[in-house]
Amino acid sequence: MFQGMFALFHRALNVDFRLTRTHLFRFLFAVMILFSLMMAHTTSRFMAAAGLVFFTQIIYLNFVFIIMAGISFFATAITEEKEEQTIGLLLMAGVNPISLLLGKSLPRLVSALLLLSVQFPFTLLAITLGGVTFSQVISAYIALAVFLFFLSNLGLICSVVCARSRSASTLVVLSLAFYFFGIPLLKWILLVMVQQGWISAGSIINFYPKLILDWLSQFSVLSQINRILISGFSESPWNMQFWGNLIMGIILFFFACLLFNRFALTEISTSPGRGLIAKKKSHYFSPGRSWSNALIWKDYFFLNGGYGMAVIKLCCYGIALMALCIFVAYLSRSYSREEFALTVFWTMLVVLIIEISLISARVFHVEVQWNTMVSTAMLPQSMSKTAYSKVIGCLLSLVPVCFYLSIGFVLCIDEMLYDLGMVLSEPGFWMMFIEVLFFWHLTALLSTYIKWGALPLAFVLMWVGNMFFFFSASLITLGGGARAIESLYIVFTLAMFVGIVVSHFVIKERLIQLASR
Amino acid sequence: MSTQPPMVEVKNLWVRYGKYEAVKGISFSIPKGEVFGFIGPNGAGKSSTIKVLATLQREYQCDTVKINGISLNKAPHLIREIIGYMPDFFGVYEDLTAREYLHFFAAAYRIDRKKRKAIVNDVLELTDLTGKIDAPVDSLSRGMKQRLALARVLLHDPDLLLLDEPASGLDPRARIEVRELLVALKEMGKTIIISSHILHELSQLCTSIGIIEAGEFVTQGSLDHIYKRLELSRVVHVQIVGEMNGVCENIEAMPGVKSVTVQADRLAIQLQEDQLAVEDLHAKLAATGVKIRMFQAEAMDMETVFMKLTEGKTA
Repeated sequence: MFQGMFALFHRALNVDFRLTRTHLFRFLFAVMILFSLMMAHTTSRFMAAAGLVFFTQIIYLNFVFIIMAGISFFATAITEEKEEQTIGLLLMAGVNPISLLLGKSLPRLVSALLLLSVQFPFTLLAITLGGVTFSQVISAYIALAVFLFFLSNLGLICSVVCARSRSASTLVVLSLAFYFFGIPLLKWILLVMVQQGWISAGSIINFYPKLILDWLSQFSVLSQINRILISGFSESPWNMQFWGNLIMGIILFFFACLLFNRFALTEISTSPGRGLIAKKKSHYFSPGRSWSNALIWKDYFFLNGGYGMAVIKLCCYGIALMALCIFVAYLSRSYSREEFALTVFWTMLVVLIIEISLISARVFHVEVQWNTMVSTAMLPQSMSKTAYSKVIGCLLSLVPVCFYLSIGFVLCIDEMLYDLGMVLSEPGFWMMFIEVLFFWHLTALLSTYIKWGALPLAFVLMWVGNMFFFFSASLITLGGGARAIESLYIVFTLAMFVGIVVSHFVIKERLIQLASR
Repeated sequence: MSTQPPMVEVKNLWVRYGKYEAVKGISFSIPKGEVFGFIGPNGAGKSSTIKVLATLQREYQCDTVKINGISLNKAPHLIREIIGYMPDFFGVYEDLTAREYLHFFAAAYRIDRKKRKAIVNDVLELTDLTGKIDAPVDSLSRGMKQRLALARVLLHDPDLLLLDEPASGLDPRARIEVRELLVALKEMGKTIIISSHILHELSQLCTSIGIIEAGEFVTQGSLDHIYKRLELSRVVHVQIVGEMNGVCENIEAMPGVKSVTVQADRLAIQLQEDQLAVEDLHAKLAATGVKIRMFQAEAMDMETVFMKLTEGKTA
């Protein structure tokens, strides 16, 4: 019965072993542990409980990696087979759905667990550095391992239900958002309702939901890690979080098996779909005839939804901003035009950053995914022009967010100009600005190399890079004062700027290479 | 003597992927209006050569690679305006309709906005896709997508068409449709380089062929030239009305006839054309007094040529 599972398991581990990037990833992880160890060693000279600092860093590093793995690695277990249209072939080969699910998810879970287990001996060094007990180390790793099990099954069910890797990853993100923030949010709402006197504290409406929410909040791995990292922790590792995550993982796997035939065997269209784009020329949302720069036209309409999506974004952002402003006004009890403008501006700035991040992950990736690079490369224009045209086409989709952003800016223009004047002279501001630009370029570059997960990978790389930089900066500038730190910021900013310029050439060369395949 | 440069001129072309040598110093020249068939087993170097000509292969060494007299590495953008390339495996923008797809490429090729509609209609008519103009590309069959890609290639009216396995994976009907389309393009005077495994179809279309194996040309030239060089015989199918007594012996006795095989409803006569032309065989048969119902010379057997010249090696 499980012959197929073993075949898939064996193949996945073989492929994993042969890929250079797997070993590079492990190497990167080892470097980070070593780096954390160095940090702990250095800080131990002037800080007590350096082991706890080291241990905390390692545990949170693992936590971030597990989250990233859940979004990209586990969420694509079945969708990658759907996209390759090979599920039918596997079933024809006698692999039953349970074996298929186990064969696809188990190797990924084992790879991730191996990564956790190999670092365990190094983490024990935290005990010798001081501030951590053996029971804390064991509890933390058990908490992470069981969370990993839960997340792998969450990814699996999302992968079964969704047709594409992208939608599966999005569903995992939403589920995780609910897992981490849903219960605290519901608890907070309940608290506000009690505080406002809408419900009484002793009523059934408050008591039982609060009891359930308190019970559920014990399932959170984040709360458990925070508890473990407190000095003097001596609880059993077999607690509510362990059993809760384990049982939820088993239930999710059970549901994945149940839903497999309903979703995984449905014929999925290989086309990305037109969305709101109308075929009729007379329709408002019709792309009409191609613009003089055809690539801008195509990417604006067919990659970013065109006019239809712009209208939807305008409406949705408008409603969301209005709700947010009302909420903030309700909390602060007094609300001025400046406050309203600042709420709009900063919210839209965050949305802008998110939108550009998503664009950078897609702009070139779709051409690679649909094997269309060769047709675009044959156009009588340079690859640079093709690439920039595509980017411009995507950036046009930012008009709605820029519209609200500019409203926010204009409504508090005096304050904004004053703030700008302050921050423009700060090297830290420029470093942050260039860093965000570098992140987008890195995402775009990675998306031409990897099938999925360019955005999370770029995020992790930037996070690791930052950690490395700030620690190195603190060591280099030890006793050097603010000027030394500022000089280092400037050097780092310039280095990233050079990196951005280089990335333009690298992306161009990569696109040419992809077109010739 | 013509002063026109050949449409394609390649001298000593090498393509290497690391240590692997895909193309080993091949040279050839294709005059304008020719249909050149590129034949070879998988991994012989056909696609690599075509990719060089399509300006997509960055790393290669050569003495000369010129298209219409323009050196390839000096002005690739100029070359792209005069060539149309259809790879063996390609994707199409599946979320667009056929009309949007072609208008997109017409605009990308900087075709005048006023002329675009007429050109798109022309290429759709040529590729017999007019009825599918508003169909989403993803709803088209593989054969139709292939024809749509060919329509896209024709939009800017290129002088040279580079077609890498244009009929691969198509059903017999779609293959015939593509072949007919290529015949029409040949009649329009386009120079075509076509690689294919379907040798029978190439023999009906190509004016010259090049057989490549393990990155090197085994032979090249016109089909007749190659057949003569290999001393291959042509098969003529003849249906004769009435009694066959002694007819086979009479035909076998004719100089230039290698053998006569009696098949279910016809005779298959193997002929050495350098000794007896097909039309002379007809005249001689008629002179014997037999009543001929059908007389059909089979197209040259390119499969025999291919098998005789290649050994199944890869580079």
